[in-house]
Amino acid sequence: MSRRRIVIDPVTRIEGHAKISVLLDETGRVAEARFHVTEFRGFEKFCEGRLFWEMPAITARICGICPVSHLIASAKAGDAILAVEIPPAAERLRRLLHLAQLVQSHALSFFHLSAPDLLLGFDAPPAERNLFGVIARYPEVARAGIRLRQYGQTVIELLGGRRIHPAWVVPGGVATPLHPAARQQLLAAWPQALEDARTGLECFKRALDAHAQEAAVFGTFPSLFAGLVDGAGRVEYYDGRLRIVGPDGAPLADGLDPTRYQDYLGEATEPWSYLKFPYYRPYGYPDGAYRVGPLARLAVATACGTPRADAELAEYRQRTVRVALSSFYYHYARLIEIVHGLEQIGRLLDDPAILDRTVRARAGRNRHVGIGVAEAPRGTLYHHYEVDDDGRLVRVNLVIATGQNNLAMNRAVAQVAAHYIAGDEVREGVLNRLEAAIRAFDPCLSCSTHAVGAMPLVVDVVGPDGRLVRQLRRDPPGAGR
Amino acid sequence: MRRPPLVIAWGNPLRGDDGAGAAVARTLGARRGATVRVCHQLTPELAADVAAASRVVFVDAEAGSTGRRTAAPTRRVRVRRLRVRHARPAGFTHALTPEHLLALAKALYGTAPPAFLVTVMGERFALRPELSPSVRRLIPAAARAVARLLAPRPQP
Repeated sequence: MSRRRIVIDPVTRIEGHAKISVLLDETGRVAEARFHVTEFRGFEKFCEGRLFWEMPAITARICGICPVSHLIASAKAGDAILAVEIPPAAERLRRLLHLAQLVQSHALSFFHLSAPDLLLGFDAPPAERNLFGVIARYPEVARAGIRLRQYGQTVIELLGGRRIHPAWVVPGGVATPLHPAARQQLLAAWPQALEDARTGLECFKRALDAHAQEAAVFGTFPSLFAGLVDGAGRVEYYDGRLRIVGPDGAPLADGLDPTRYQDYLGEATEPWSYLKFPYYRPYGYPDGAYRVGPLARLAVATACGTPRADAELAEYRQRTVRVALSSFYYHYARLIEIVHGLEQIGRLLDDPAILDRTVRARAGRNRHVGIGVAEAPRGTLYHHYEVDDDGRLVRVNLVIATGQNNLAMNRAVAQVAAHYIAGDEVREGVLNRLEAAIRAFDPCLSCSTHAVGAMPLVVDVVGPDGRLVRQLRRDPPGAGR
Repeated sequence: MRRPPLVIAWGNPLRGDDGAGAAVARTLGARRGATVRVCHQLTPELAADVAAASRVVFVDAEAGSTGRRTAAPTRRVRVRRLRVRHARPAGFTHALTPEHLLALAKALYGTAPPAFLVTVMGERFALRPELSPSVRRLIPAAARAVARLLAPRPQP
């Protein structure tokens, strides 16, 4: 049977390298669509033989966008190997750092990567559909995004000593306490950060009605959702128990110990992607596909636990019913989480106990296995280490948030392709929607494959006879690395 | 209030000579009264720092042709005046060029200060945390070039 293939390579405005391929049948209808991850990094393998003490610093190098998430999960795995309970101030400071990471990562995703589509339109001319276009039309929104990123990075810099790859989080706690002047600086800038978060959220809500069609087809399907919750069932980013709910929000499993993830999560592989395909074991592969990240956290939790975020959550649930099944609403959930994260940052900074100077528990290796789990901006992150008597790693397993959304991302691509593509004529706006369906998940492929560079985006439409019918090309960005 | 000059050094110190910018920043220290930022890549939020500066000196490594890599040290540290670049990065992901950052500062805050780019020609960009010996020897010259640009009347 004669078929045609459309390839988008690379997918832009995401972190890492990937391509999308759409296979058309002889009638021009979509027969199959896939999201391929084409980079490979192999952190799990080359960490073997290193001391577990080094792992926070090494694994933070997995990503320049969310290094703190890896620091936190890695240090928690280290805490388990030491068999210590870290001092209360250390936990507060880790939470503060973790929330700052969430704020700045989500701000990057919305304000810099997705706002061009969401605020200017998916069919806007590509030359305008970028950050500069947003500045021209919505300068205050653009400035709010810049300030939010700055706030998150300033927290990280004041705590960790630098904005990228701080080595301040260590097994047993953190390296140094918070300086009172730094706390005052962060408290002084906090009201503006919260105002900026609300600016972004209100702007998105105003734009939402214009994207009803995208909301309907950007990966809208019933699935499972997984995320950490605290003892009261509220959104929890640093610790907590895992809850898995079905598409109607009903819990399928609750109170799961996240360090026993291998009991209920499996990992499948496919020959066409470097990204693994985790699934919920009781449902098997691929029926056990589940989503993680902001959309899932708001699906599994009963509440956020802070006043402004809970008010926003109530409105969100009015718009989407109890559980949002469309992946398009990742954007909305992300913006609510920025508000939630900032409210929690405010609470932590208001508490003088955060200045306590006892911030590290010291011990040697007391266990051979340590598993650290936290909610990274993109979803639940697992670091699983096994060490020898000297504390050298003999086995490493990293289960990354983006990987857990792999099945869902593939379904989203297939759904968008089937809705918008019919025949040879593929408009640029349709290609952009294919990419945007992936962008909604804010995937971090550098994290999940364990890239550098800029390839052009080329879409070839090949006829049944193998002849090139049409080629669309997008030049690479002028950016250096 | 007098606005301080700004140095932005960027690159990945785990990729051999790509860490030259960070090495220049370390050599400069805080002696010149300038704000010094070291980062892996140029991201949009740096536009606010750029707009608040009296002038900006960007410091980076560059990969040159084999012939230029063996050139005299004076040719391997280059200084260029930068202009605001109006071309928009359509495929922007997370990183910008210095010219785009200047354009962002201009668009967002109405000002883009005089800006210069100092580059150190690298030899090896493989995965390793050290500079190659010949590039290490270029760092003091590059730091002096940056210091001259930070002076009140820079001579590129």
